[in-house]
Amino acid sequence: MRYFGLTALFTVLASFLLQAVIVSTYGWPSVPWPVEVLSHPRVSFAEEARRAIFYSPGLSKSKQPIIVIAGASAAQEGFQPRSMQAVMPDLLTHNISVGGANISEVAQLIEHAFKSKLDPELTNNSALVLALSYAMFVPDQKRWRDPIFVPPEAIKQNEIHTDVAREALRCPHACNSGSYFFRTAPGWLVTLAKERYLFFQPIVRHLPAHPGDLLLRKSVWKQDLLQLHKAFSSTKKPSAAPVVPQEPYLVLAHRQMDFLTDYMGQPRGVLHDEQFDKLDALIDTVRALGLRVVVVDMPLPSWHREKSPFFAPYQTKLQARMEKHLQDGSIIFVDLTAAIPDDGFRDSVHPNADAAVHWAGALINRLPHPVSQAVKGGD
Amino acid sequence: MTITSWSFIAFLAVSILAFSLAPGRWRANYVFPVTTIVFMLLVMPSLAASLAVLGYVLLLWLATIAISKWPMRPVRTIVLSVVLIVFGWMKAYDFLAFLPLSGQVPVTIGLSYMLIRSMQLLVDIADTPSLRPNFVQIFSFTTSWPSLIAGPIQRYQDFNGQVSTMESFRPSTEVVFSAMMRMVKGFFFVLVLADATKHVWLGLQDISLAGAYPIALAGAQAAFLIHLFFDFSGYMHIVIGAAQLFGLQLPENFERPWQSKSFLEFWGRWHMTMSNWFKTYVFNAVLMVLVKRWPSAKLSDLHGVVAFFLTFFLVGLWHGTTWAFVLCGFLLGIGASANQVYRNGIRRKLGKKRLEMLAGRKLYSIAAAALTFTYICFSVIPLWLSIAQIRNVVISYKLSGLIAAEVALFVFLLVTLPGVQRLSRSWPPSLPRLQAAMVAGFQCAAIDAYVFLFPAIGGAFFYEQF
Repeated sequence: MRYFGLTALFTVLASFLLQAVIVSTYGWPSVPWPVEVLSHPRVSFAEEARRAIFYSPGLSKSKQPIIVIAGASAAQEGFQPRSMQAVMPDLLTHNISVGGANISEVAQLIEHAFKSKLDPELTNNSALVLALSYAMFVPDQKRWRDPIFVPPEAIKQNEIHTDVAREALRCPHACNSGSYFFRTAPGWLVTLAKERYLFFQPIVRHLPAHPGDLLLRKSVWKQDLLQLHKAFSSTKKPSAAPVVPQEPYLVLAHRQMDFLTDYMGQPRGVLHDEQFDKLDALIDTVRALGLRVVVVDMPLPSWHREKSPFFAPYQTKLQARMEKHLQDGSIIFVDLTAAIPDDGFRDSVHPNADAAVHWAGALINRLPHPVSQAVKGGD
Repeated sequence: MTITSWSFIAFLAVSILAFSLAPGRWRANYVFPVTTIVFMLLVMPSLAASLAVLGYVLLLWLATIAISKWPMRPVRTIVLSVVLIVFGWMKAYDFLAFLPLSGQVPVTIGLSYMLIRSMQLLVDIADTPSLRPNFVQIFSFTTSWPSLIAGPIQRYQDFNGQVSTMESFRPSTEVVFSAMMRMVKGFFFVLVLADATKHVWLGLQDISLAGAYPIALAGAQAAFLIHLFFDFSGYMHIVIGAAQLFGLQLPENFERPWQSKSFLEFWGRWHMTMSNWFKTYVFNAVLMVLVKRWPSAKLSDLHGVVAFFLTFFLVGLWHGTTWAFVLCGFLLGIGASANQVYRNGIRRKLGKKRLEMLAGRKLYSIAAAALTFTYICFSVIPLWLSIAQIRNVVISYKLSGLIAAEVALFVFLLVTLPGVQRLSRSWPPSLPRLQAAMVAGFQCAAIDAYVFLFPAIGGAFFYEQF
């Protein structure tokens, strides 16, 4: 047993040593407050998913009522905590939206965010804003097997992993909302287990996805053996990439809309029930936690609403689903689809830099009285 | 459950607890078989797979009874054939697809290893009338959890001898410490080194399949063998260490394979328990048949060459169920028989003394080692490429591209092998306990950091599929 203890001791010492090296190189890891996972510049959805996993436990430490925004990239950029605070200084808004999320991934984000429960007094006055758009209803099989967004090695596996689920593989027990440990352990223990890895956060983004990538990126693998000597002796540097002029907004935006239409899969204009069922279940789960739920239909440019084959079917289905929740008073529905003029978009879905404050204002102005009062601290 | 998961650690902890608390006489008869059943249920892909394995063990038990009662040669041949056909049917060999319900048998893990153990048992029972194992003993031996997935392969007599000492087994500090160190080393090999090399191998495989890139193909071959070494030897460290805690001394499967200077030497150092089994039960048997049929002394060299070819052909075939493994067996057989022809020829030409002198020359031994590993890397390509992929590689690379890839690999090995061999000679160093505990501690911390920084998607043992 003595040597078992010694091995454990050396494990801890080595871990501390590694952490000390990381801290001295990159500084003490900090979690942003209010919690926000948007990465500047946007590196990858995986980076945001990782932030969501490791930053969201901080929500439970709040001392005042909060609004938590959960959605995809449009919500991430449109409802930034800073913009929300500019409109209403008393408001403490956290944004755990992850780019490219569908409803399945949003449900995982919520599980992480509320594993540690808020103070019961704050819970009644806090709200979760589910920021929806039709692109978030893309089926799992399409979204998480699509080679455009998902790394090839992930596609080779049969299981479907969202970005959050793939990042959860880093600490499969504390970070995986489906694990036995996550489901059964108290929130504080899960948070503690996650915080153990906070030290690695600053360096993960500097590392390749895999240590072998550095070797695989070498051009030598594709060299013709007979031409090798030329490759090594060549001093010619590659010419700089030609400067591509900026495309006009509408050309760029329409191309993105076409991309979104392909992204949603076939048949065109048909939205499956899978993600709507998950949305129903998600609302029920959040209501069971005692939080108010605000469902926001996110803004889209007028031409996007008119031309997308998915928008009209989406609205019909969403309204049918929301009816039940509205009748039993479990949600507040805010329709922002036409609330923002077309010049407030930088592409087919995202706000431009100046318009973000208007997006935040549009949401706050339409929030029903009880929620806006609650977040101001009143009752 | 995989053997590198926390679930396995939990399984191990509960099994050790049950083993320690149970009365001595229960250990071999109840505790060990029950832990094996639990392990099987946890690792097999489905409940049906576990039931299929139990069915196979039942068949084996009936086969042992039949051979014990009627030890005549025809009965033995029929029984062995039935067991082999049932194995082939369960394993879903392509060429047995005509059998009824083939393709509907649940996929199992470790069936090839069970076959090897069962063949050994049946042959030895026929030769040794005193050997009469009961059902529990056969079950424990064939599906023994430490070696269920990928060996090592142990003889029934050795296994049973160790199981019978379980009653009085008390693990000393020495045993626990050594077991723990081996397991930590195994986890480090599998979770860090095997994972890192696997990614390189798969990346180079993708590049080499995307076009005719001989250097990438050479790199993929080398990376695959290195990955396989860390994956398989790491697995061995884990199961050998775990078995020590139950009083089982599993045989070693690796003996510094990087020191090999010939194809046949390599197979005496790599997956040794499998090689020994094939040597005892296939090579010797084939050689005996050949000598009896054609007893001329002039043909003795040819007997050896043919026996080696057949043995290694079966080694390849044993690994898998598709035509790729037939090709692998063919290549291994060619390698073994070519090695034997060369060995006979050069011995005859130079004589013992001059041959020893030649073997002692550094350049010769390094070139021989590089050639050996080049051919080994080449012959195991069917383990990681399907027949369709191999056909595409042959078409796109053409003969010149394939030769270029093997030459590149040979040159790479010529440069790197001396260093690897020097390291392998002195590794692992024998450390005092304190330093060993320190190394294990750092390995644990490295695993923890690596798994977080470079999470793996998937990651079953390569040998699990056999």
